[in-house]
Amino acid sequence: MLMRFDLPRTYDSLLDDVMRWDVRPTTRSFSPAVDVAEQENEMVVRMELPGVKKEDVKIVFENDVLTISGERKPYEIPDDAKVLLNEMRVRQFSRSIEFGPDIDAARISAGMDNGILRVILPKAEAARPRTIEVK
Amino acid sequence: MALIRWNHTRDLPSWPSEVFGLQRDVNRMFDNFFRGGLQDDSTELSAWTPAVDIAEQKDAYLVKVELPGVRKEDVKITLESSILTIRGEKKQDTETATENYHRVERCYGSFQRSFTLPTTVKADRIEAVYKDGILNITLPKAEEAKPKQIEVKVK
Repeated sequence: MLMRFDLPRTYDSLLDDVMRWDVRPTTRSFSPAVDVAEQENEMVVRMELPGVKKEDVKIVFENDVLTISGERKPYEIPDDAKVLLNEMRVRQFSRSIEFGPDIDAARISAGMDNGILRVILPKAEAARPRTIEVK
Repeated sequence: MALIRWNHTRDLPSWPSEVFGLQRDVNRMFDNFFRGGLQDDSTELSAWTPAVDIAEQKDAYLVKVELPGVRKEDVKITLESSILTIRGEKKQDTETATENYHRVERCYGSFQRSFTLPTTVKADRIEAVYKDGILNITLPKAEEAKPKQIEVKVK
């Protein structure tokens, strides 16, 4: 039987140790990829959060800034399992995106589907496009 | 609608995917060198590389692939002479034709990961479940590949 060497985890913990010596306090956070799209009446934010439960996500909108933070918790693996490959990152995440003043903050909504968090930020009535009929 | 101002101080850096890709490639080189048996045969044909976790149990391999926003029907899993291949495509989830993008960080397009399994598996008993953006594949080991304990009597 060959011996399996759990390099990714070893390498990670080594790296984490080095990071801890940094002058700044590291928060061990990562930035999930995000798309921001503008539609006619709303802004849509889509963030990749695979394996994150919706109860572990916190969304705050304050001073025109949308902040999505939370934690990706490690999944359970059986006790007798040996890790052969570990590329997924489990740790805290936080992203802040600044919007203009035209967001109707009271009507912001969010949903999670297939590992994608979707935040819908409706535009304030005054900021929506209007069609003006020529009489 | 006002344009989104990109604020250095507020926004955490978002690294381009190539940097991660390179880091992953280097990691993979190291991993392949040190890891006994399991071999990563991924080709460079992919537009992006999903993160993979693999664990080995006594009687099965557990493979997890990070595929947020990928539709079940766009994923194909094949096993050919002990090479497990997961390939597919992530399509951009445009909701309306009039959508304008202010920021696009997510990677789209085709992906592929291949691994040579160190032991034979029961090909007809492989199961895959897609949940919360993660593809979970369970590959039960073939009988001859399971560890056997032989008791040796000392006289």
